[in-house]
Amino acid sequence: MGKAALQMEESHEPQLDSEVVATFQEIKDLFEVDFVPEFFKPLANSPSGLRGIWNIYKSTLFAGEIPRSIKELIFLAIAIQNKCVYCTSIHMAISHQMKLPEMTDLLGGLENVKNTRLRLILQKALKSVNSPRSMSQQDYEELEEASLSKSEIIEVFGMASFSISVVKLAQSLKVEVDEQVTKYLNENKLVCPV
Amino acid sequence: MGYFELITEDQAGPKEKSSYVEIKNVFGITSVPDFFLALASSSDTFSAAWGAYKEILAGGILPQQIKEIIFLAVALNRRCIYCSSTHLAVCDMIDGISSAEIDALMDDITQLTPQRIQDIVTFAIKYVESPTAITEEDFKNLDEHGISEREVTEIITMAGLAYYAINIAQAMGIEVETEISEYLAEHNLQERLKQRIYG
Repeated sequence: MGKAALQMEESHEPQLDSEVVATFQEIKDLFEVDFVPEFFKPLANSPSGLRGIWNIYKSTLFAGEIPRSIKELIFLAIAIQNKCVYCTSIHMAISHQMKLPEMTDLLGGLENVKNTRLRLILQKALKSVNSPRSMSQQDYEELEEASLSKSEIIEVFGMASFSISVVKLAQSLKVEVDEQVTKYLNENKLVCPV
Repeated sequence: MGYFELITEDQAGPKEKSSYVEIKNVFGITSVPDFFLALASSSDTFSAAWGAYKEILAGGILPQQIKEIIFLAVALNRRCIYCSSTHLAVCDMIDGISSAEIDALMDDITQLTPQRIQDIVTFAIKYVESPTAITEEDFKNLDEHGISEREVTEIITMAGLAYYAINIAQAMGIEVETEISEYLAEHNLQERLKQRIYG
């Protein structure tokens, strides 16, 4: 399939309802980019669907106590594991732009992440999406020992669960990597490992 | 009691307290589900989830029955006892979902009728199990049932929200509420559900 499954061309934007326009603006503002990432465009076929998904983004990635950098790496780890080219590319570009040195470690595999606290958080985030039913008291305690509060543990699960849900949306909707992202990766000699 | 505490209505801060009122009003229930009480320990995660429920489950143009059917189908597929129990009880309680439909959801989706509903559920399950295998044909098939792009978007965002919520509930080990267990037992659904999830 050469195109995204549900079309929402940039040229249609002027006809979009005002709430979608407002949401698109908010997306650009928070991500600090001058384009709406392709992922959000097919969702705009349903203003409530777009707002619902965007609301999770906003309150998960751009809020809370866990630093955004850790959340970006959780997203990236889950995108790589699920072989999502779209999500991996865009979150690689974001992590690179945020100058996260751990990104290179992560691209080489979780075992290469040197910071043990970060590695533990990423391991538990992956476990929470790979086998959520097997999360146990012991997992919670290990996170607690890495000085995460209960509310931060909930945030990790919220971030991981959201990431897997978004990855599946991008894959289902056959979202194609944004030109701007491809250009950024090329310019910085970054190769998507998926 | 589980590891994560439940923030009751008395303990909740003003923001959560007003959301609790909304939750009860939107779902027409008298107590807030434990899922939300547990999330309330992380105010932003609570906002993320409830904000999305309000838009996706309670908003939009797709009938509530179809959304509840999608939620139940995804919960059963993911073997989440908490979410399956809650949404099975909801599907059984609300008007417009037949016992034949519930039987098919529990036992065999290929028996689900009408075909349009079966294809919607199959599509949602494909989102869960093998999103990369979704093809143009799948979208065309929904289109041929007269389902608009807006409705298709609502189907897929509903499946996405369900997956997200289910995964959190499982990771946090949220336990089924007594009221829900009792309801299911009274309606001869409890044992069938346990068989379906653990059997």
